[in-house]
Amino acid sequence: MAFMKDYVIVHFNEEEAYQAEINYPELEAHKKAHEDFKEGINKYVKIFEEEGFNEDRIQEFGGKLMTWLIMHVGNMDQKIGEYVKSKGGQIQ
Amino acid sequence: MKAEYVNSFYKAAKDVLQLMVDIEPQRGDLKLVEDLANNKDANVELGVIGDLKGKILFSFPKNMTLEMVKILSGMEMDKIDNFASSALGEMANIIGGNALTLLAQYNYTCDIVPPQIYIGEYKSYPIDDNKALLLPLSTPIGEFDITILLKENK
Repeated sequence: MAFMKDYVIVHFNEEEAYQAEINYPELEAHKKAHEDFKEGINKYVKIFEEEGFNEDRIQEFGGKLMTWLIMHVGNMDQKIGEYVKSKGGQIQ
Repeated sequence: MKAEYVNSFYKAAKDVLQLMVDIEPQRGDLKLVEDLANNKDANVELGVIGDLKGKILFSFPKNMTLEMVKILSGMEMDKIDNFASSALGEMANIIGGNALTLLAQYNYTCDIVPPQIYIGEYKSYPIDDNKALLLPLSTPIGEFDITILLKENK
């Protein structure tokens, strides 16, 4: 969980900085999606702190995490690529 | 109930399933039903609050649920465990969120109450006299339903 928390913050910050750098028009919506995800992770951090790591809860967290990530990368992150391509891949 | 509600949920379900599991659902004939109930194996209930108020029920057969989880995770399962039911709940949550974004274009501002997942037959207590609409959807891996019970709350 420590890895998830730290990695998520580093990765999201880097991605948001990149989006700001390229004037990505959907930056705010993307930031909101990242915030919601962090909130979701923190909810499970709290559950695991309070209940310990039990198998049912770990499975529940895994199912949610997998689905969220596939949707986020397949949809929102792809749109960043499309935006960069639409600008000829030459964004400064 | 207005066509916008049904069309928004259909479009959201179609987009999400195409993107996530590469499956295009085809819509069947709408049915008017007395209450929010379904005898399929896995049911996800989403609450809607805001300009529209009510519940949405996503109902999937066991084999379709397990097949979707297999496509998403690469894991073969023979029962709907917490991992599979949570993945299904999150998928319904995403469909619901996207449907509400589409409904915002018709000036309905709404929020979703986090999903409740029921493995096994589902039946809710009747809320009032309103009837619900059941939208059957067919896919190459099975048939599922979205039941919509919404009323204006403006």
